[in-house]
Amino acid sequence: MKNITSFIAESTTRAYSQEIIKVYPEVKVNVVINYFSADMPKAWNKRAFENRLHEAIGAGLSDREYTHYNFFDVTFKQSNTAGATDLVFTMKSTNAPSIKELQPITFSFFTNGMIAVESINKTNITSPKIYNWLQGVDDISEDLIADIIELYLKDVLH
Amino acid sequence: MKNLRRFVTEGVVNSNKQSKTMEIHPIVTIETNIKYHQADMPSSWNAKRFEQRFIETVKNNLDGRYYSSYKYFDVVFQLNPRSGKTRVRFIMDGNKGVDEITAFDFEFDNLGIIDDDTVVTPGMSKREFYDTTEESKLTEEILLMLIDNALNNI
Repeated sequence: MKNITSFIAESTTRAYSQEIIKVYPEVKVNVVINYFSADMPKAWNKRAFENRLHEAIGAGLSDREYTHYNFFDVTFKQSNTAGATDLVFTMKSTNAPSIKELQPITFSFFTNGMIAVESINKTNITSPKIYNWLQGVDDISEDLIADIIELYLKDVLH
Repeated sequence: MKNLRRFVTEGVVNSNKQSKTMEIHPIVTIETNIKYHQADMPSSWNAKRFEQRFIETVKNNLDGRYYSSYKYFDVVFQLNPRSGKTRVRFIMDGNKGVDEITAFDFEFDNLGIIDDDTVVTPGMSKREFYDTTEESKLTEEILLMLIDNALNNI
């Protein structure tokens, strides 16, 4: 029988090996688009927006350190500003309770696609980069919303 | 300017919610630890080789599969002075909110014979444990297989 263990009884040196390694698992995240039909721009292609949003989140979160955020919500709702729609991007983690919910992008836009400038402030746009970028945009679209979210996930969220 | 929307003004205010689960492939940093007193590690085992194979086992098991939330993977060898046998445990832990789990915990003697009375396997079934250990003789290879099985179960 193979002698597997012969103890070195005279030594009590503590040995310890530690390695930090990177693994590439698969993580499931939930993406929700929430809207009242009256608040969602009718001209928009909702299916295309949904697909583009998934692409944006995939591109923003893959091949980078896992952020633990696994729930993403884009909500369109009627704004307090007459004739405008609020867009609220929310993200949270359902498996890491210590990670707080974030609403990094919140602004309003009008029926013609113009952003309500007064809705863009540093309180509801957590990134100066996106704050500056949004101020230069005068016509919001499905693609631009997805682009903003991708930019936030890629370049801002750490 | 592109006309982006026309409101549905006829009073249709249906709430719509499109929810979809999708997969992302992020990078997760994990930590492997092997803890032992020199006196407790089987001297015929090659500690460096075991360490390397342990890391490979963990990495190969976790790459490309559903993320389990476990971040720390520890193998602990410890001499039990009362029985004169070596106790080995495989422990997995995560960040706050993830409970630590000891996948298996048992003692074996200097011939590699596992003491059945000490076997505790919260992270795998007893049957799975004994199917892997076969004749109850422990080798580096069998320990790594146990670790791989335990990882499969998380």
